[in-house]
Amino acid sequence: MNGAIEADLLLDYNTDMSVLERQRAHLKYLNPGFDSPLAGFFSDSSMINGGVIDGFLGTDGLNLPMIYGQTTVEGDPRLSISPETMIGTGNFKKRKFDTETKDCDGKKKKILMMNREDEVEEEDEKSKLTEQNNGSTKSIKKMKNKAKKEENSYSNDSSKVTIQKTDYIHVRARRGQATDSHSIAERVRREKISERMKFLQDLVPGCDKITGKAGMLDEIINYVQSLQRQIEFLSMKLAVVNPRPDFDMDDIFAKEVASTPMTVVPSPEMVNSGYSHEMVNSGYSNEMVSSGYLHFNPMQQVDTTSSDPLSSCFNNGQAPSMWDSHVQNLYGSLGV
Amino acid sequence: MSTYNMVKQEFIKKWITTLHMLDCSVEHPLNVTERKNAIKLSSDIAMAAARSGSTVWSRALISRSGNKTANKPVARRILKKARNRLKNRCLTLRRNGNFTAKSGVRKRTELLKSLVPGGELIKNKDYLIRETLDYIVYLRAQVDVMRTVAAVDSVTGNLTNDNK
Repeated sequence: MNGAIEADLLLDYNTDMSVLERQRAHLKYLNPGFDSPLAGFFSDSSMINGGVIDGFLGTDGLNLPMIYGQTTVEGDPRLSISPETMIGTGNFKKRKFDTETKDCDGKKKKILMMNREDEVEEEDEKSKLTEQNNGSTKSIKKMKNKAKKEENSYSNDSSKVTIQKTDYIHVRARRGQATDSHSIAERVRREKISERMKFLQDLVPGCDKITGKAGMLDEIINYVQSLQRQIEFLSMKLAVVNPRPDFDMDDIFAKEVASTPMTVVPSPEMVNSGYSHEMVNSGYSNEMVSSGYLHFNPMQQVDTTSSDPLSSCFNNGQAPSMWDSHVQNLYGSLGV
Repeated sequence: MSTYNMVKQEFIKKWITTLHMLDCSVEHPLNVTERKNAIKLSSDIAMAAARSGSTVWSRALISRSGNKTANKPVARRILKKARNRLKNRCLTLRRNGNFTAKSGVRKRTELLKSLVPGGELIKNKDYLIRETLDYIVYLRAQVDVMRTVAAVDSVTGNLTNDNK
């Protein structure tokens, strides 16, 4: 998905770089080192992604708005980003001024001077906008064209940049568009919405072909409704199977635990080494302890700090292939 | 993927706790429907508690569930922490059923607002979509966990039947 977004930025030279994308690129620049939320997300075809805390979504590790603050910037040596992908993120890196003057066409030269100042000012983290009415300019896309030839200087430049802490992001109005503050703010808002619609598109399966807000909202509504109905159905199913509401977990663990000998409290290495019956059982017995079931006590070492073994059981690099009908795999995947 | 695992893990923990609380505080319901409602309620509470009240939908869900658990003071203890952050608007919200949507998008937004708990409170369409994203993620986690538990149940049910 990262590649897809970068590709979008690169391939579509005719469209203007959106205001929102500029902001994001800033945030990306200023916050290096975040794990790319979307990389694992979409490759695993799972639903969630962690990201930067936005403040709005709290600290649970799920911060969707920052999903599009994705990849680390080129200051990060870990990433083997191709020069093409770096371009998408690197629009607003400070460049050495002398490197900008090469190979521009006439149009770009006009905005060179203005954009230099822009880039100095645009290094900040707030999202409040202000506009500069210095005349309309070409989109930053054109800058990218010439930035392609200066890719080698990127990492050098970004490391030498000093960030100016201003309170707001200066936004350059695009050529041929209204330049008053309201319409720019409105445009940003619309771009944010469309951005999020894009992410919803990835989240809701089968939404790729649909364009337009109404159709996508339809899909989203259908998906939410279907998930809610699934929950109803599953809870009914669980209610039928179990004699008591709280026997959901009890029964499972009781049957499993009783059938196999108990082992020691699993260490993370033990659980990592394999998903054998006993290890999984003792892992879940710890979970039982944490939930207050005392009749499994003689079978394992009671661990009062139940959250730790619980998390140690769960925090494995468990592959998505755990979702088998195999009983052992089911128990293991219960923690996945 | 690991974040999704964490979400599910949180949800499982909370769900077990809430199931316990609900069960200890009331006599065992014999009706299937009642059991189903108890399960659903506990899982909803767990899902919202896992999000710990930092999103609008989780707070709205907690307040909604709080009405249903009026007879179960034990379960309310779980909700207490999150409820302190609730706005009263959640409780007293009346849905306006007489909206006339001017366009397809507006109509669907209204529908979406009715689906997502607490969606009607959100004025900004921007935030609504953000909330929906988050809600979908947690719904999906809930569904996955319940599906696994149900599958395990059926498997172990078969096993015990074979052993008899």
